[in-house]
Amino acid sequence: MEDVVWVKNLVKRYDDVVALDHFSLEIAQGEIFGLLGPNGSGKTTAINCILQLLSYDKGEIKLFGQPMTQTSYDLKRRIGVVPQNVAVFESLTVRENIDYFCGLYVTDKHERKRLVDEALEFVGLEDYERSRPKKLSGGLLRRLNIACGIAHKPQLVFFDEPTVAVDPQSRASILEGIMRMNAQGTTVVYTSHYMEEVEQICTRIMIMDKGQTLACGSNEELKELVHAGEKITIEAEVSQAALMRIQALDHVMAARVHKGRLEVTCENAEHNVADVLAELAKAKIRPGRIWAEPPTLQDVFLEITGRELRD
Amino acid sequence: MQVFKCALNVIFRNKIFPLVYIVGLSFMGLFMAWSFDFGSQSSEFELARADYAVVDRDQSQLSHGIIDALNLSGERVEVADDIRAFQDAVAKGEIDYLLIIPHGYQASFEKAVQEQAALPMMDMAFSFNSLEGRFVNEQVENYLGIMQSLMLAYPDASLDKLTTDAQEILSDRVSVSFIESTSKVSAIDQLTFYLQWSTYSLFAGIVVCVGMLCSTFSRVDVRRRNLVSPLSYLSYNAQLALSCLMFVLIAWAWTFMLAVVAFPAAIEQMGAIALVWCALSVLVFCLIPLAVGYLLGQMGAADIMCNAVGNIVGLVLSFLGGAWISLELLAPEIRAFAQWLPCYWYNDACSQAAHFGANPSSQELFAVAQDWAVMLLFTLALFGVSLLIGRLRTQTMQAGGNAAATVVVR
Amino acid sequence: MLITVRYTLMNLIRTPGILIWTLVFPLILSTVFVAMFSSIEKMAGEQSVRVVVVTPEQTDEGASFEAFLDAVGGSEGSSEETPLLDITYVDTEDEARALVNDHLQDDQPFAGYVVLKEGLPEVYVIGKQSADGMGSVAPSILSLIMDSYRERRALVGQLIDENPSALADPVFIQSLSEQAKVTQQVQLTVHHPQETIRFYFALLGMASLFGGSVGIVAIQLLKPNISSLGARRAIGAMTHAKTVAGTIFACWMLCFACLCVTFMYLRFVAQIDFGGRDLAALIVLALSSLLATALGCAISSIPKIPEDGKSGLLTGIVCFASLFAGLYGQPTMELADAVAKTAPVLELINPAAQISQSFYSITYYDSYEPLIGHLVILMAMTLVFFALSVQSLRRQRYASL
Repeated sequence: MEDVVWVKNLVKRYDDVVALDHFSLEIAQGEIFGLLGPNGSGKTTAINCILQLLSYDKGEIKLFGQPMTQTSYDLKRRIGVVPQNVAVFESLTVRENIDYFCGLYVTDKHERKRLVDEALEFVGLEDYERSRPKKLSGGLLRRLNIACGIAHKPQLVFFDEPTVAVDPQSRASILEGIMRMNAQGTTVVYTSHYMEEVEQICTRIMIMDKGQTLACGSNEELKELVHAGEKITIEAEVSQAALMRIQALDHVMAARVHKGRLEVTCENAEHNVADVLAELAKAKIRPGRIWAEPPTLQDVFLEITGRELRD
Repeated sequence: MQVFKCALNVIFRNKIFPLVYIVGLSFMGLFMAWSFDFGSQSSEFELARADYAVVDRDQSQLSHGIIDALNLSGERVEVADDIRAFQDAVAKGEIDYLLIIPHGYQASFEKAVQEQAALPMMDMAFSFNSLEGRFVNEQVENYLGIMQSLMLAYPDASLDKLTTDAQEILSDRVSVSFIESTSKVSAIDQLTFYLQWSTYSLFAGIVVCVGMLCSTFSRVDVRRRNLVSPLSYLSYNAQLALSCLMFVLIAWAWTFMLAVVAFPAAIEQMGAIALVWCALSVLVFCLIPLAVGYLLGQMGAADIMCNAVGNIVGLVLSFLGGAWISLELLAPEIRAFAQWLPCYWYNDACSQAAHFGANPSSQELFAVAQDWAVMLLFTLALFGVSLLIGRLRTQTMQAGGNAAATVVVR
Repeated sequence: MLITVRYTLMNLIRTPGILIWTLVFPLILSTVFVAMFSSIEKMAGEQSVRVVVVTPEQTDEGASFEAFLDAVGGSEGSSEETPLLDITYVDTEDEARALVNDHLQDDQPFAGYVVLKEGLPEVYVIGKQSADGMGSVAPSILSLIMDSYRERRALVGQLIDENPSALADPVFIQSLSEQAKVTQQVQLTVHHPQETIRFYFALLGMASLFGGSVGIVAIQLLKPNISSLGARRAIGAMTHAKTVAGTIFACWMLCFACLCVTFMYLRFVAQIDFGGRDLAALIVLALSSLLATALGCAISSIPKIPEDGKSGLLTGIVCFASLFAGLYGQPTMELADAVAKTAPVLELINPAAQISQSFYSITYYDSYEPLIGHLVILMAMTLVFFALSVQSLRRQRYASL
């Protein structure tokens, strides 16, 4: 099956700054594709170019197998966008906002009414349909923002940090909704700085920086790219000698004692916890509580993109 | 003085409003004051001179005689013999009176006098004022009445002689003197007219700029950030108040200095005390738009609302203060209502102060001070309401955070 | 496109600041004008001069003077026209002076008083009273009428010396005692000339142009580089042309509706008569509101000016244009007329002046030709503003980071 989103060698320059440097992207139908990158990496530029909000210097963009241009209205009808900032009319009610944006895609009045009702139900805003945006809390506003982007049942949706400044309950609800949409066949492109969200819902993730792709793959594939594996934390009073022996173990990358806890970082291997506990037993050290954490996406991200602060 | 400097920066980054209102409208007020005739009347009565037009299709001695008679007390304006030109002349007030002398009028007139028939008619039209039109028409009828009488009295005399006799008769005038009246107008009234008009420019300009400034600093998180800093509450508010006051002083100084430069005759007639008290009257008035601007700031009004309130309320207040038309010409109900508004007291203060003699009495000074007191009451009342609204607004703010700053009255 | 029209209208109507400039401000200004001008119009319509006359002594000359005053003052048997003098008789000169002074502040004060001394009238008139510099022609009319008495007396005196037989002619005597009726008033314009009506025309010009604020706000919500809302609308499946057209149409409808309300207020509450040509006036309003929308779009699409400053820019343009349309009082009206005469091209490019002149043409000219000329100019300005907006908006379709 052809890719829903196909981008090849996209270049975008602002004077001397290269925002996108031969950037390429392929997203298959039915994926929830996470697009990650530090601030200024080119994520939003890439999305804006795909959506034809920005012109670009070189490259090709195809959506649903067809070249995407500013006037590809048939393609635009199949796309939805949920921008980072809440983009609604302050003076219109919830229903009116959704109806308006749905109306940009669906001209039939009866069909539109049905879609608006479904969108309200989907985001759980039925009780607020007559309220104006300024009366809504942050979470409800975000849900309205989403409803305006997906009411017309697009086949491809771009979510740009949809859960910023939202409480955990609303966030969970939003993520659940996205997964439901995906289950119904919608392809999702998702950008966020919340790694746990991306880990939770994305089927494939791309990490980009300085306008280029640094890594792309599933969660597991990305974790395999980096050295960091397990992180083991054990409550124990560890002597210096025991610490040195633990540091010498195979697959142990680093070990330290900090505030009465032994913290060991290991490469990917099967028996890391058993090996460390064996060493403690040899030193006759009785461990307290034990935590073993697999590498997180944040670890992967920071290792790939570096820990320097960005603009 | 960080807050003070930042506040002034905010105002001057939006300089389009002070430029349009304070500078632009003050020049307009100047222009209008210069255009009105405020000079003191001459001691001898002079007949008014109306503007008239005569379309002379007859080109006869009689028609020339009519024109000569009109010239004694009017200014002839040339108008093309074209209906569109006639319409423009009367509709635009270029003339007060238009007379069309038809072809063959002299012959018809002479024949009518000889046969003792009704005199032939000429078409005439008035412009705006019936009285001014009738004034000119009266001269036409008067002249032709005299000509008719002369023709009847001297049926054999030549038209030349009769015309000369008529001119001689017309040049003799009755004695007209002025009644002494209590009211005198002078160059000072030009200055006070400008100061009256300045209520519009000062009110609009100060309300817009102070309103925008106070709204900016009243944004919830901006205010919070300022208040949690080591800067004391008193110092913060004092600096903000000082920046508003600084702008008010600049607007006041500009307006008054412009008056001093533009009306030298008035300044010369006024004494130093009169000048100072006039200036202080303007300054006291400026505190009222300062309070209104502060009120708008407490309500969180955005620039479009500040602009609208400043412009519209300023316009209405200045009108009801007599800036656009003398209050004496308005209906009594409107005059009574105007006394409940600050511009009425401001105009009274300016007018009285400007007419102080070299050594005004304490009564005269007290009268002006009373006007100041009324204006200050308005200021205090507005400030009181602003503080209350500000307090209520802070308490009811639900959204919190910077999102609250978008809850503005647009 | 209809959905864009509908929701743009709804959004604009619910934005409070919009209706202030397009509806509230014109209504308030109209009310101010009505209050301001009602007394001026009343004064302009005055037909008579109020005067106090000291009752002449019962002599031949006194009787002759009284007869003359009766003829001018409109006693029974005089002409149907409103008498030029409205006479109040008193017994003494002191009473006359006191009466004049007591009524100085009236809407229509006495022009002065007259006393017959040694057969000749002596006239005492009020001077310039009001501090706003407005004078009155009434004292001059009084003086002129007394001059005509003096002239007739002088003529009689001349005839006594030169041709006493003429005094026996009853026709001659009649010619002396009656005012010669030699003129008839005609109406050259469709509507009677009114000094203040041109200020209402200028008001409509200003009110129309302030409708540009609607265009400014509406276009701001379309620009992707200004707001997320603009970006979202830009990537919608509706063509950009339809979105812009729908937005402009909504703005036009709103401006036109607000102007119609103002027009109805002037027409039926303020009783301003546009020569009975209300349909033509509505056509002018329709075109004016379209021009205003185009002006607002053009200002909104200027790229380098901050969005906040654009309403200030519109205010400045409108106030300046209205100055040269004569809105701010008689001096500015005279300035506008002078500019129109000496530099007509300046009037041609001033939209407020063109709108004002359109209403002037409707009210005063019998032919529609001048109106059509003004409408063509307004349409040309509209097209120019739209062309500038489209040109700029096309470049601003892209968001910028």
